[in-house]
Amino acid sequence: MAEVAFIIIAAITLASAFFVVFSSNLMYSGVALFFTLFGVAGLYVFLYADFLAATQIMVYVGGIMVLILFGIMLTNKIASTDLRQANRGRFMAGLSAFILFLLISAIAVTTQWHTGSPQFLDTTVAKLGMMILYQYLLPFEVASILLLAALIGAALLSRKK
Amino acid sequence: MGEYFKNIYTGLQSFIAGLQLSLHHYHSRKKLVATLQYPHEKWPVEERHIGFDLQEYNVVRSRLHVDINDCIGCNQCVRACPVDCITIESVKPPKGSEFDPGTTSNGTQKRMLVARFDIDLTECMFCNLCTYPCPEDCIYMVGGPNSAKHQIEYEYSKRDRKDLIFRFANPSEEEIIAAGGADYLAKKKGLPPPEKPAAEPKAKPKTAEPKINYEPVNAITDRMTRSLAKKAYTAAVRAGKTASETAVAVKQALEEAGKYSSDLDTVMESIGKAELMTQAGPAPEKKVVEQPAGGLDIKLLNDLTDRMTRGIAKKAFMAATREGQDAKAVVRSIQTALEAADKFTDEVKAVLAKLESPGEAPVKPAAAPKTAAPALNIKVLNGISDKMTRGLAKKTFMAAQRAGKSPADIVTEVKETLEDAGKLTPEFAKIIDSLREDA
Amino acid sequence: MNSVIDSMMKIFGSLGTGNSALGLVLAVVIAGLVVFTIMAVMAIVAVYFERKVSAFMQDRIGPMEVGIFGFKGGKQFWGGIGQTLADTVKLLVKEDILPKEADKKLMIMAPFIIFIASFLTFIGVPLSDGLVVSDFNIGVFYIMAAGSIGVIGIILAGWSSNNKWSLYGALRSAAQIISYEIPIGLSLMLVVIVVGSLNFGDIVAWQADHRWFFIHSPFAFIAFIIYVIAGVAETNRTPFDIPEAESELVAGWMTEYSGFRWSIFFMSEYANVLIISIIASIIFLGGWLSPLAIFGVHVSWLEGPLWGLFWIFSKAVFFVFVMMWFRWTFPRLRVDQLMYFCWKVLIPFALANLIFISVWELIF
Repeated sequence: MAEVAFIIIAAITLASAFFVVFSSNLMYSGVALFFTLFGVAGLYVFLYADFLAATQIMVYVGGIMVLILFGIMLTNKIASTDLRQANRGRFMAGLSAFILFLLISAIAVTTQWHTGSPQFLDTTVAKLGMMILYQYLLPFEVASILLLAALIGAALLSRKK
Repeated sequence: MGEYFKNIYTGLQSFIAGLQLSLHHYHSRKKLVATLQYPHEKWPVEERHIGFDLQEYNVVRSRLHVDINDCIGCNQCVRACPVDCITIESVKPPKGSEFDPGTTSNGTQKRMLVARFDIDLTECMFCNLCTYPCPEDCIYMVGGPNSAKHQIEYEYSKRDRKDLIFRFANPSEEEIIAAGGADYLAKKKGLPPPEKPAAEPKAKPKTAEPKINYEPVNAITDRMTRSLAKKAYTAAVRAGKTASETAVAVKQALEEAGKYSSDLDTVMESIGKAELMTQAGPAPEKKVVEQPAGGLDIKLLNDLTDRMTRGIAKKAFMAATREGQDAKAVVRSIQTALEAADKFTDEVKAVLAKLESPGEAPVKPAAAPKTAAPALNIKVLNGISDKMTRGLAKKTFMAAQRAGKSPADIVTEVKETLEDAGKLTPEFAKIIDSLREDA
Repeated sequence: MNSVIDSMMKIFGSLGTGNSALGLVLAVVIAGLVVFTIMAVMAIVAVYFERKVSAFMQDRIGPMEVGIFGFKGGKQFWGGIGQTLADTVKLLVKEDILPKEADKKLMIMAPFIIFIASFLTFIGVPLSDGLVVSDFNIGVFYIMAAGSIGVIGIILAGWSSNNKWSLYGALRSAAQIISYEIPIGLSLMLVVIVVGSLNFGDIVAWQADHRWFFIHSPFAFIAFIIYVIAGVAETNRTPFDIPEAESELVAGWMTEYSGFRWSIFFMSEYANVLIISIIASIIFLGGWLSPLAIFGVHVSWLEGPLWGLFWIFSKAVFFVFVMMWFRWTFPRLRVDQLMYFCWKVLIPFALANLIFISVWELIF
């Protein structure tokens, strides 16, 4: 049962990801990205990472996606439904993607994965919080300072002179 | 910074004040509600007053109305109408027919039966020209000087445009046939005229139908309900049901149409007690015609089984009574008439004997004339200050008055209605009481 | 873990189907149908309720004529109970119009995305003790996340209609919903800090042990008010209904929709109202606890799942009424006022609240 569900979700993720790349309509690509991000959230659920899945939806679907759609809508002629992406430089893009794919595969193959029966965690939230605020405090703080700087920069740029 | 918090504080204050206001309206909805549920309740509209005396001059001209019982079918109004919105068709009884179209309230003997009297109010332009030539004053604009005859009607919206053709005359087929209108009826239905038995056209005298007493049904104020009730009532009476059965039938019909309400209970009661058929109409002249000095009852002749015999007997009876003969002479003339027709049998003899002895004849009391309520003065109600209450009070008053209730009943009814609506204050109650003292 | 799906699967298992996959599919389908029915019925009832409440607040009486099988409801004021049912039938048989120049694929898809958002949210909302389709550990966070999907649908609906009103409505709506999610999240975070769990069951259990959250501390009360205000804004209702402001944007992002698709928007909107109300009653008003528990009175026969359902719905209906009450009291805010109110009033207060409640928890 779980396998069937996994295959369906993975298929949705992959198919919509292909659509994102190959669709010539920019808006459709954006919408396909919505399904990709949603599918990734589904894959997190299979890893018992419920908090991460919810965060994925909240941040990427509810935040980033909206931003992307806003961007597409506002940078083109608003009233036009004819938003096209040209897909220029296919060769270079394909090459870099292939190199990236090789890199990731190499990492996936060489990594020592933790094997064994899946461990069921009653609640992941408390553990996550502890790890972020103890073990990984520095990256967390760096990320937050980066975001704060971006926020201030955006406010500064958009201010009327 | 101080201003920031001050703004939040005033914001909260107005927030709460606003909520209080709308909650107040929500809670006192029963008092504050301004909606009138239009088709169910209407404002009574006073007639405009533009300087004329309304009793003399009809300012409003809201709608034409015909008192069809008074119409003699003279076609004067049809000729007067500039837009031809009136259609009259009448059936003249053949000579020698016994059909009696009745008399008008002015005492004029009608000569024909008005089979159709349609006014197309989609065409009517309210010029009032048709009302002047009417010799019986039976066509008039409602309201104004005629408000005693018919209440003002300022709107008559219908679901279908066809319903705006008001059909005032609605005689039954039997009545039309009785008046000799078989041809007319056939034409109306698009059939070939029935073949008349040419040999003896007068040998088939029609029995005059006893009139159906509509008085109890007429007490219903709502027009549509009344017509429905009348239909059911007529059908029931024709089927020979007793009074109480008729009342049940009428109630059932109204309930089916969803028009029955508890205010109609009294009407149903009066139907249950009423006499369904009246030989004698309310007009005194008629009584003289049908009940001669001898106190003979023509109904007794109905006991005769043979139709022809009955017809001849009745004819002779009528002729004799009209001449003012006394009982014995009447019987004798019937006898001779029957003998001449070779119809005098033992049965006839027995019936005639019965006819002759008036003591045995069941004397039907005429329907008690309604005692008209001593007119209460509706103007007293103008003392009520609240518009809605006044409207409600007037509406109830009118309805009660139309139903022919006594002054005391009217006053209590008005009060009860207001109380139900939660509008009765001691001040208003005093005004309503003064209605009675005023009368 | 005590959810409807789990118990249904247990029942199917005991029936001896032996096939757990089939049981799961069956349980999911049944639960989905039930949630859908609740949403549809809620929309129909809420529309009637809304029309009546608005009428009463405006000294009118609202619908009075339509009944169900001849039964019209109350005589004087609560008549016309069949009105919304008739309206629904009318809406469903209406012609479904797609504008010629619109992006038809996205336009058809948009209502379903919005509907899926409300539907997914509803799955995590408990209706009583143990009466939840799926009981999440991260309940509060899940509802926040699932609720944020709806924005995508709104943007798509507005853009694909190819209509300026729709587009402006969608932009405003997206900006508003994203902004007001922050005060909602921050005020819910208060509860999480105090209780130490994201699970709705734990939150109610804490309130049963201690006290209802809105009287927990002054800061909790402020958070409660912030939540209610932001919740109203989140559902795009007056006075925060600038995305569909009739006088300027016709109907906002719903302008080009009609018939069945429009009724899906409508249903989701009222489902969102119900969700916001239920969450407010769970988190701040003790959820399925009886109101007597406030005074420390525990009547055993007033508790249990069915009574819990009753309590939670009466609290939710109260919130729905409050939202309608707001709607017929306050005029619509301007766009800049709306943003000012969110970013300069609600969010600072919510943040300060968060700090103060942490201190409060440390002290007491």
